[in-house]
This record gives sequence, structure tokens and C-alpha cells, in this order.
Amino acid sequence: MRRALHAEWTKLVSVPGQWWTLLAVTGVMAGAGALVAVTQRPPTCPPGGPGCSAPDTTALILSGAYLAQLAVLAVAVTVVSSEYHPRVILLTLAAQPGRGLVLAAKAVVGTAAVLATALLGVAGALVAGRQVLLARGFTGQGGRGPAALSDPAVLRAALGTVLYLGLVAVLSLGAAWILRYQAAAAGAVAALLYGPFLAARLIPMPDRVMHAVQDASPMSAGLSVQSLVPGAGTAPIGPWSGLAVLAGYAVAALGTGWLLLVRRDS
Amino acid sequence: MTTSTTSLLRAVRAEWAKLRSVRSTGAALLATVALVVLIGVLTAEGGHTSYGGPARMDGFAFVHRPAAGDVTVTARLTGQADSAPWAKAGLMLRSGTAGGAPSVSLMLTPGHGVRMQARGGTEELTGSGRAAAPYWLRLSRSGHEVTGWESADGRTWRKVGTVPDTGLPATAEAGMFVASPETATSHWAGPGKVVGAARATTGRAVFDQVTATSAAAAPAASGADGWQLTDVVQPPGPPGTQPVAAASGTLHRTGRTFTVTGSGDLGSPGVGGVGQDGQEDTVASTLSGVQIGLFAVIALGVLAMTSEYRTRTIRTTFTVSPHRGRVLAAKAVVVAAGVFAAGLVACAVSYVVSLPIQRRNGYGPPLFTQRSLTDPLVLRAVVGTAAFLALIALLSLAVGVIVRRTAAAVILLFTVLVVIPLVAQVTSVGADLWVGRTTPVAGAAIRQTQPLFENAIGPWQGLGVLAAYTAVALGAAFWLQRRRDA
Amino acid sequence: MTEWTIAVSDLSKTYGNTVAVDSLSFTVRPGTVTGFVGPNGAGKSTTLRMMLGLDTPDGGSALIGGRSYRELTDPLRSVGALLDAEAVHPGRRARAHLLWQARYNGLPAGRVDEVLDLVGLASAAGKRAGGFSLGMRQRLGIAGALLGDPRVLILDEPVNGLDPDGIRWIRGLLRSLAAEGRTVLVSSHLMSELQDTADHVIVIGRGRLLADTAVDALLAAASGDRIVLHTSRRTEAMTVLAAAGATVSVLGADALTVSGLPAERVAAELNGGAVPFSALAPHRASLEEAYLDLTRDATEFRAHGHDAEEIRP
Repeated sequence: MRRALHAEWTKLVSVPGQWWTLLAVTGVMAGAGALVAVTQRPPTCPPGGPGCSAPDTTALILSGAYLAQLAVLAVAVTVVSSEYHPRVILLTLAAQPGRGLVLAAKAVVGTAAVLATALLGVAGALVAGRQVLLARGFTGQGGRGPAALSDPAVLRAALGTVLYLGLVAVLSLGAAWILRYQAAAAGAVAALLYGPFLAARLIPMPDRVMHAVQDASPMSAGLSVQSLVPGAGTAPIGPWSGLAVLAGYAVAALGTGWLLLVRRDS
Repeated sequence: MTTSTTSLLRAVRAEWAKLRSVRSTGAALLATVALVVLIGVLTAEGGHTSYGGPARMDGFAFVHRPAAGDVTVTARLTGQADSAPWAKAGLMLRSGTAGGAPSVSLMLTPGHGVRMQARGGTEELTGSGRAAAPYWLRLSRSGHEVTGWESADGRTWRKVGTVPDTGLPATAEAGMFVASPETATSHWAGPGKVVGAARATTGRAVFDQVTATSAAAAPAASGADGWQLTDVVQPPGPPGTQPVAAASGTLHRTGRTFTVTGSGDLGSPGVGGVGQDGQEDTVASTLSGVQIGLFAVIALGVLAMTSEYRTRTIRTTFTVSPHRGRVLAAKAVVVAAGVFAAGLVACAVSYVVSLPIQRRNGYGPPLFTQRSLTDPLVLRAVVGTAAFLALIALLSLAVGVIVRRTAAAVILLFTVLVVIPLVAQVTSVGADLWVGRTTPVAGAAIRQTQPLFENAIGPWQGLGVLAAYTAVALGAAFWLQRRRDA
Repeated sequence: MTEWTIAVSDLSKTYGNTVAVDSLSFTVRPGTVTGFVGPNGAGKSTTLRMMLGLDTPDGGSALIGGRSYRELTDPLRSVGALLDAEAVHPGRRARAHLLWQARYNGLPAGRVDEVLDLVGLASAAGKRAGGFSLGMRQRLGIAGALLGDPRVLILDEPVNGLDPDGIRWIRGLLRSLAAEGRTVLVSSHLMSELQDTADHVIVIGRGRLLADTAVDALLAAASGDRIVLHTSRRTEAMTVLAAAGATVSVLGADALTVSGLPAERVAAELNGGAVPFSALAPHRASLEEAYLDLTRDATEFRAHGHDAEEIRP
């Protein structure tokens, strides 16, 4: 396994495009966090007054995840699909006939790279976003200041966001093993992530249906881990159970990919 | 025909042969139509009008006196405050002063000229559309039949219309009324959330030269000549709806000049209160599917170019036609025409199919006007939205040329056209407006038919923004393709 | 009447630090099949792409019939090219693949079926190219090159992937096209493929011209004064002949080539040394040998240790 990991790591870092895309995960997370914070204005209505709800600043400055996951998707899909165009997979499987091992090594290397860059990005977003919010006049009065970084809820949201991006990587890897074509896999994962999310926003539907869609969609459910304000998240689901929904999709995709890799002719 | 025109036509035919000979083209066009229509229908199915108030309005200030038998009421409206486009002031014959009682009325409105109503507004006649105070109005009763007249000078009278069966009793109340409906205001409560609120308005009108001649003698009344003011009270709406607090009417009289103020409305709310200027853009909502349909359009536009790079067919293409600009121009024509045609079908079908669903869900007369497909406003939205999709296809084609790789081009376009607008939407109002004005998605504004608060940009300006981006991208594509080795 | 000659003069192309084509000049004349040969990476495909206006030269020019390719109107009518048989959209049917090319040059759709018939793909015309073997794709590519009944044909490795039947077919086709007075340029990295086809060869290595000559002359030059000797006592024969001042190299298990001595001297030396031999004949070089001689120094990627064993005095 160590050799397989080393080989896959070499493959990943020897493609310059992958470096840039990984860098984009960090850059987009941190940059979007700061940028979103710039666009915020502290609410002017009296705190606790009717119709006056304080914005969930933690979720806001972590909303770079909506964008960064596209870079994650691109990295993860490329890790697998570059084996098929051209068909390097024949060489890979000749060097390491254990197909499960190849899949596992790619999964570990791809996900680890994403987790590392996501961690940096999330940390950057929290620090930069917080500074900008304070400068924009979000001060502690009435619970409107940005929550302290040591707040367990903030840590949960931050860690959850890192894990969210890692799970998106696993989901993309699985989809790429299933579909093999880079564009097809990227399109499928993007559709799965954004499709139900957009549909729930665009199409008017009864709350019951909308909540069911949100709970079942990997992006809405998964991103609820960012929410610090009950009832204001992307889905009416607990933070960890939301992440579990995404994990379910990811594991199912990778499992299907593994089955197909083992069964199918390369 | 010049050689270059012939060559371009040939190139267009060639690129058309190329495009239609792969399955993904048909699939993408079909997906575009299916997504637009499906989401249009789902949107229509899911949308219910938020108006829950009474279906018939009948509440206003009424200055009246009893009139037995056949009667003719005449008055000159010397002034009317423009408190609302559908403010109403005029003459009325009425069976009593209770809200909902049978009545016939003839009125002037600041925004919509002369109107005549009977039987709670189910019967409505229009007079001169451009009439404005000072203006003469006359109602004359003959048995159960009432005829309305209008005149600009009090000498030449034009018939507005006759209502045959008015349901008036032998002795009716005759007089003048003033109404001014609620206007709706909306404010942005948060990203994607607009809260509407109704606000009462007060109308004011001045009448003089009022005559009410009756065949039978008028019974003695309280005032010097029997005129008195009553607030006709709107019957309550469906349970759970709250009437908007309105000021009581006032009457100020000097000699035969009556100055009356009043709030409320009569007739159907569609020609008064809710929906008067359309708080909801029912045309645009039938076309909202383009926001998802554009996925398929992006795929089509990008693949038209990147599939040539992936299969290296591009070299064959440039060998067959060394004039590279012509190749790109032909591709642009074919892709834009194909997507425009599919988009036109998709938008027209979506609109036509959604109309009856919207009507069933309350977005229909009397509350909302429904326009036919051939209405210029609707045509602009439908044709414009097809053009929006065609421009997106061209933008995708250009990005395909520049980036050359399918996945990279699709992700880039997806980021710009879908994800950035989405992030802006969920994070801040300012960012959302900014994105809606300055990025290519501004083009989606072409489907708007109502000046709504949440609109970021006007329809044509929005399409112009997208067209500018597309032009720049195509220019860069032409330049790069010319310079690069194939 | 245009003289359909391909004239390459002083053509150069550099990619980054790699010089792909270096001041290359040659002329390809009508009525003959001209082979364009060189090892992998010699710059053949780059040269062909510049001829076809796909890549822009850094210097020099490649003219076809006196004009650069990009100036040709309806180029298919004058030049037919096959660059890359694999460059076909897998989802497109064979007929459609040719139809769009015909449309670009205003050729009638009927011509598509004619060329499909000509290359033997008539029965596969309605099939998607994704299911084609490499040989079928080569035929499809050749059909595309023939579409406009061109005066000039430029084919990059057309024999690749063809079965022996197909190879014989394409040789006959190329010869008959040249016999009709057309200019035919065929590239290959294997000289042997051109043995019975080309009249003239242009050999390049590392982007430079190594030879531009008639095949007959090349063969004669490569054969030189060498003699082929068959003997069961190879080692002894080599010792004897080397001592007599000849250059000897091993050709096979029981065969040697000898140069530097006339045949009579060789026979005399062998008899004098009592070395038996079964045959002694002047050497007729194959085109492949001639080519290897030429490209020995110009091969970019050469495996070491496979050179012929050679003993010098």
C-alpha cells in the first residue's frame, strides 16, 4: 500500500495543472470568505425586534465552499480520469494489478490533498472574514459580532467545511471511476451537487417537499454543517447528520466505482 | 453572390452537417427544451398567488340621497387627486348603503379613463380611455336599465353603455362616490426574499353642477337637500385575511360644489388593489427554467468546439477550410441558430402550457391579466429569452475555443453563470445585485415584463451586458484561433 | 496550368527549446510517389502540418503549386491530406464525416459515396466511426484525402494499421495516382514500407535534410562495393579478411559483408586461409539499410548496444 500511495502521490504532483487547482481550493475559500464579509452590512434593526435576525456570519464567511468544491471536483475527477485519456490505466494496472489497491491509493492521496488545502483555506477564510467583519462594524453588541474562533460551534462549522470538501473529493473520485470521462464525471457531480439545490430555490414547492429535497440533496444537507443559527441553514437537518448524507453519497459512489473497476475490462 | 458569401454559406452547411451528425447535439437541444418546459410547468404548478383578500371590492365614501323610480344623475368632476392609477371617483345608483349591495357606477380614474361597472364589477364597460378631470358624467335609469354617458363639455354626450338588468329596487340611493385602492409596496427582507405590504391611499375628488332629477318626488331627508355621506364598508374577505385600515370618508360642501375624500375600491381587485402593477412577473416565471436549461446549452456550445480538439478533428477542419475565421463564424451561426430555434420552442411551449396552470392557481383574471403569446410584451420576453440562450451558446463556444478542453470550459462557465450568482444570492443583497448587473447572467433579465423591486437590471440592458461579454469572448477566440498552431 | 509542385524552402519551426524543423528545403514533383522518411521525432509531421497551414513556420515557406496552403480556395480540390487517421469523432457516421468536409469545399454529396466505394468502406458508410478498427479509419482518412479529386496528395503514415491486403491496396493506389500525373507525398518512419512504392525519397533527421534522391541512386550508393559472404566458419573468415585489410561486419549467423576488397581478392584470401565458404556475391542493399546508414547519426532516440558488430583493422 505504501508503494501504491507513493506512486499515486508522484502522479498527482507531476501534473502542474493539479497544483494550480489545489491552490485554487485554498485561494477561493479564503478569498471568497473575505469578499463575502466585505459585502455584509451590520443589521440596523433593533436586536431581537420583530423580523430582525442577526446574520449567520460564520456560515457566510465559509460560503466559499460553494465555489471551492468545483476546484475540488476538478482535482479529484482528474486524478482518476487522467488514467483513461490516454489509457495510462493499462500501465498502472500492469505495475500494480491489485485494482482495489489502486483505487484506495488514489482515494487516499486525492482526499488527503484536498483536506490539506481545504484546511488552509477554511482557516484563511475564518481569520480574514472575521477581520473584515470587525472592520465593517460587526461588533459584539447584541450577539452580532463574529463568533470567537475558539467557540466550539465555530470549530464545528470549520471542521465540518473541511470534511465537506473532503467528501466532495471522495464523491468525485467515485463518479470518475464510474464514468471514466472527465467531462462526464465533472458534469454529473456538479449536477448532483447544484441541481437539487437550484431546483429547491427556483421552483416554488410546498415546504414539506422542499425540506425533503434539501435533506436528501448532498450539497444542501452537507453544507448545513456550516450553520450556527438553528433553522437558518441550507437544510432542516442536524449538522453531523447532514454531513452523513453527503458521506452516504460519497461512499456509494466510491463503492460503485470499485465494483465497476473490479468487474469491468480496463 | 460574392465568393466569400458563397464560402461562408458552404461553411455554415458544413458545420451544420457536422453538428447534427453527432448524438450529443440532439440530446442537448432536447434537454434544453425539456428542462425549460418542465421547470416552467413546475414553477406554475407550485406558484400560488399570495393574495387572499376578498374577490369583490365594495367599500368607499358615498355621498347620496334617495331617488325613486327613473332618475338621471349628472355631475361635473372638476378635479381628481392622482392617489393611485386605479383611484375611482364618479356617480352611482345603489340599492342601499351596505357593502355588497347591487349597484351601477360610472367613474373616472387617473390612470385608466372612464369605466362603468355593474353587478359587483362582473359587468364592466369602458369609456374614453384618456378622459381626465374636468369631465362630465351622467347615469340615467329607465326601469331596470341604466345607461352611462360621458362628456368633456357638458353639451355633447357620448354613450358609455347600457346595463339592462341592474337589480336596483324601486327607490335607489343615487349620488357620488370616491374610492382609492391600496397600493402594494415591497421591500427586500433578505436574499431572495421580498416582503410585500399593502398601504391604504386616500382619494379626493371635487364635483359641481350636481343634479339628480327624479320622476317621483324625493322624500324629505336630513340635509338641506338630502345629500349625506356614508362610508360603504367592505364585506369581510376569506377568514384569516386582515383588511387594511382605511381612513373614513369626508365631505366638504360649498354651495353645489362637493369635495369628497375616501378610501377603498369597488369591483374586482385586479382592476384596483392587488396585482395592479403586477407584484409578480407571471410571464418571467414561466421562463425561469432557462436558468437550468442553460446547462444543456453550455454543454452544446462548448462541445461544438472542444470535441474537435479532443478528437483532433480540428486539423481536418482547418485543412479542409484554411480560413479559420470562417470556420468559427460558421460554427457560431449554426450553434446560435440551433439553440435559438430550440429555445424559442421551449419558451413558447412553456408559456402556453403554464398559462392555464397559473390561472388555476389564482394568477388569472380578475386579479392578474393574462396575455396571449402574441402580446408584444410576452413576445419580447419569449423571443428575448431564446436569444439569451443563443448568446450563452455563443459564449460557451468562444470559451471552448479559448480553453480547448471540455471539462475546464464547462467548469469555468458553470462557475460564472451558475455558482457565482448562487453564492452572491445566498450571501448578500448588494453582491447579488452587482452580479445581476455586471456578469453575463444579467442577460436573463430579458424575460422580465414587470418593473419589480428585485430586478437587478432592465431587460434590454441585461441582454446588452451578456452580448458585450459574448462579443469580447468571441473576439478573443477569433484572435487566438488565428494565431495558434492547430 | 499550375505546376503542382510542393516546394519547401528554408522551413524552420521551434517549440520552446526544441528545434523541430531546421532550415529544411526540398521539392516534391508531380508524377512520382515521393517518400518522406525519418525516425520518430525527426520533424516529419511538423513539416506536413506547416505545409497544410496548420502550424505557422518560424521561418521559410512551404508552397503548393506556388501558393501557401492558406491561400487556396476550396483546398480539397487541389490538395488531399491524411494527417491522423484517429482524428475522427467517434459518434459520427463515416458518411457524415466525409459529408461535412465535402460541404466546406462545395463538393457534391454524391462524391462522398464514390470515395467510400473507392476505399472499400461502402458497406460501413452508415456506421459510427467509434466502432472502426485502425485499418478502417485509415481507409476513411484516405477517402477524405481523395474527396476533391486533388492534384496533390499528402499522406502521413497511411500504411499504419493496415493489414497486408490493405498495404498492397494502398501501394497500388498510390502508384496509380502518381501515374495519373499527381503529386504524391507519403511519410513513413519505416523505409521498408516504401520499398516498392516510392520513386523518390526525402530523408530527414533531427529536422534536417539528410537525403533527397531517387530510390535507385540511394540503393546503389548504399550497396557500395560491399560483398556478401556465406560461410560456416565466420570467426576465421573475419580474421583472415581483416588481416588482408578488409572491413568486415556480421550480417547473419553464417553471413558477413565485406568491403574494401574486390570479390576476387576475397575468394583468394579465403582459399589461402583454407576457410570454406558457400557463396560470394555483390551486396544489394535494402532501402532499410540505406536509410539506417543515413540516419545513424540523426536518430534522436536510439537504443544503445544494438549496432551491428563490426571489426576494423
